[in-house]
Amino acid sequence: MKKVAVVALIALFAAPVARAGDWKSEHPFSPFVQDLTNRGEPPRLGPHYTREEHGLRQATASRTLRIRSPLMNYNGGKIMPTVVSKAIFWGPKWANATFVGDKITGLNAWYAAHNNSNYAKTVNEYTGTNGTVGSTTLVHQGHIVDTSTAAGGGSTSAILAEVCKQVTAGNISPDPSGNGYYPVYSDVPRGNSGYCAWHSSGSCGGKQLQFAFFFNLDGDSACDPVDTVTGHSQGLAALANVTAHEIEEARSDPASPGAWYDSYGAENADKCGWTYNVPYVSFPDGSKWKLQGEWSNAAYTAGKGYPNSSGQRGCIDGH
Amino acid sequence: MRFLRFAALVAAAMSIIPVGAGRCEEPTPRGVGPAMATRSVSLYLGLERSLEDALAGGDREAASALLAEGFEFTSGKKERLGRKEWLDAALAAKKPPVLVRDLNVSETGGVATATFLLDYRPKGGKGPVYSVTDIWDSATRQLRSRRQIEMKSPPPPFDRPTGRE
Repeated sequence: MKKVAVVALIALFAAPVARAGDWKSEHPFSPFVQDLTNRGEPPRLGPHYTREEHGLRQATASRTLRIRSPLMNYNGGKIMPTVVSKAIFWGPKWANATFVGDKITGLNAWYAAHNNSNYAKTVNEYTGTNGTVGSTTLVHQGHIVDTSTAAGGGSTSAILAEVCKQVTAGNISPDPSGNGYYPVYSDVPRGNSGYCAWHSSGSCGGKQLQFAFFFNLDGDSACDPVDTVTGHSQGLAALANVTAHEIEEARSDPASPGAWYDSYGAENADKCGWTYNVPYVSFPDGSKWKLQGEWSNAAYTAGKGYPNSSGQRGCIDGH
Repeated sequence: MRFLRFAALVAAAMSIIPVGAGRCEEPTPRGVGPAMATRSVSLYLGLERSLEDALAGGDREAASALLAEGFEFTSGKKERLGRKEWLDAALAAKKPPVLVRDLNVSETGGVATATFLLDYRPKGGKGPVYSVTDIWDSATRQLRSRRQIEMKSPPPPFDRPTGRE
């Protein structure tokens, strides 16, 4: 009995320490934020920076702040007050049940539950020529599987052509208000590309629409949020994280001319990329997702956000 | 003497670039938004921007902190400068806003090799574009060397960064 009590006591005190080592103490500006920016391969879980480096990083970041404002600026364009989404899973691997795993089901669930989530509300402060970003009318219309050979992400035209192909085939009816968002999940791995995904806009048959491209991120450590909590497969967790990144950017900066981005051209998700304030974000249906934060001008101005990789406290995740 | 000649060249080159640069044209199709950079591109893009900001802002201390002790700069004109010489020249030059673009990183053996373009063209204007290869110390995040060559046929400018840099 005494032994059991001792083991229980050790477990009680060891658990928070293990958790801290798992996702805390990694961010150079906050012990409570996980920063998965690649600071040397492989990703380090729980690095402890030297005093010199910690000081150097903080000094550099604070000096940079004096030169450029971290706030995003409005550039005169539209935003997305609503979203009508339909996913396209493109490539022959999407016919393979082992490859598909939990990805299609999981991403459909993600888009559906994203509606009216606190996470979606992180973008609501931004306005454009066509109103304010809204989070209560994010309608997901399911998905299409196209097993023809997919393209990689090198050509936006190729991805737009795939979306237009689905429009022509009658599988997509572009939202007449231009708020249709059509993410294309390719089965092509990233290879040496320096990006995981992107979003863009274009038109099919004269109808304006938004679209996005995602590489196959199975086993891709450079685009992996290192989700050890939600129970999703690594591939789904990675796609969910980049899905959040792209759709929140599209909602606040969908088209040309742009709406909201900073002096570097970085959009709300770029500014908080690879930083995580909590182990997971909850959606209204109770599902849990490991998602990066989104930049909020309001949070930064009020000093209420958590710090991004540069130590700028403007990231929020609605948790 | 060599340093003075280099500084004069840099100053002359910079003086013909209109201030107020920043955004360039965008590739088709319209409205290409920034892409989500990988973790290592995200890190080194941040470091490169911090260095350019420090130089543009005349902040020697911040720029110095990002340079390794044995830093060396080489250019296509066979200029070879040490840490202090390059810092002096870079800080003395009146730099217009610059775009760090098309950045790629490979990391191996404790160093990260970042290749990218330094684009000094303002929107609708002219200016130099440099192809740059930087070698960073992966552990200290300090720049060990930079090789920079002015491009004869740079890629078209774009209206705003695509995020693929």
